[in-house]
Amino acid sequence: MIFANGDKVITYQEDASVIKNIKAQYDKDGLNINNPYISETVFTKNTVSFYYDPVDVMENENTIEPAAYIISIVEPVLDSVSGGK
Amino acid sequence: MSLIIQEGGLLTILQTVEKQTKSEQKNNEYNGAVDSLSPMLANKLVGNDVNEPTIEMSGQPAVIQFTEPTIIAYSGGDFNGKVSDDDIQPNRIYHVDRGDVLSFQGSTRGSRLYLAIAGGIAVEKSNVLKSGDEVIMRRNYTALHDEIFHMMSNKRKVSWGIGIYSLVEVYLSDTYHIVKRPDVPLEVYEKLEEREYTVTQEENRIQLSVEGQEIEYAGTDCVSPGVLGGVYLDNNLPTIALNDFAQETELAHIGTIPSYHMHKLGQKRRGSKIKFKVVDSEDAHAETYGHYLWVNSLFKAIDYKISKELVKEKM
Repeated sequence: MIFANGDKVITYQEDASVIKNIKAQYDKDGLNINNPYISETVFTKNTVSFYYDPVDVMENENTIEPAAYIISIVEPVLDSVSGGK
Repeated sequence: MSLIIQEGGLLTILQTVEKQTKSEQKNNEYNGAVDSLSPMLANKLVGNDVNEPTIEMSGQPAVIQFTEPTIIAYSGGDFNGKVSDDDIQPNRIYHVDRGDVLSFQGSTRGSRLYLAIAGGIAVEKSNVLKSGDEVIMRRNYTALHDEIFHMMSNKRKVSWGIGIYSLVEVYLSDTYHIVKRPDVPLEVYEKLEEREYTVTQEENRIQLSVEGQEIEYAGTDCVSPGVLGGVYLDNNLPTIALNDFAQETELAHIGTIPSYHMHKLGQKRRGSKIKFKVVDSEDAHAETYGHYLWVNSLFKAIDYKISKELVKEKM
């Protein structure tokens, strides 16, 4: 499950084993997410959260849905690591 | 020289506006100001970059002595203050002299204030300030600072400030948006919206606890991130995460308060009322952008008032 956690964070929540795989991949290559709007990536046992500045995204990407924009960046990567779970 | 903390107050801390993630902070935690709008306003008034660190004072503010002349402003709760024998108010520009002592009376509204010093400030040791500690003036002066110093050279204050009416929209409502999660049942949000909660205590910069009708929801067996503004159920009552909240928690997370409502949350004190309004992220982002535009217009108004004052001084 991926969701907007307030207005500045996108959180992906899954089983601990899935997050463990994502964390291993993150430690290896940063998940290959080189997005200028994502300032911080924080893990817990069950979640990975991406911090971003919604105003930057809205102004630079000309969108009124910055959460959808960030999700469109991170979700395919997370799905590829987690096997689409 | 510097500022001397004569009395430390309840919790006085040199704090950045936003959370700093870089590790060059000499073991100090800079998790950001609880009310991040107020330090920006105070900085703007004294000619600083809006993100310059300020002194955050909670509950009972500190007593501070100045060892050289400077320009100050404070913003946040409605604390009336004194510089030596002169009364001072929030959201105004003041000139202080060497030897002046700044103190505050109780607040009629709000629980925190933020003190900005022209040219910026820093500490060499802990950023939690106790009686006897010294705060260093960075004296990172710009041409604007020079002009403000000149403008204030023969007076204690300017005749204008940011009126409370300008800030009503941001601080005076008891209603807080909460961005909902897709996995939390609608009845949880219905109960949350129909009830009113009362602040019982704030654990210093960590979390705000409330009392009121309980909401029974166990959540999933999950370790959630501790997000600023996160609303978690602790013994079936909402607990709201502030800046120093844990990085992760096993409490059930039911949603998160957006950044544009965190300023007024940071000014809540025991007995304050809280009501929740559930929104989705699209609505929250529309409000976020509106708030961003409003803050910028307020900054422009301050720029205009300062430039007008400078012109008046030169005539």
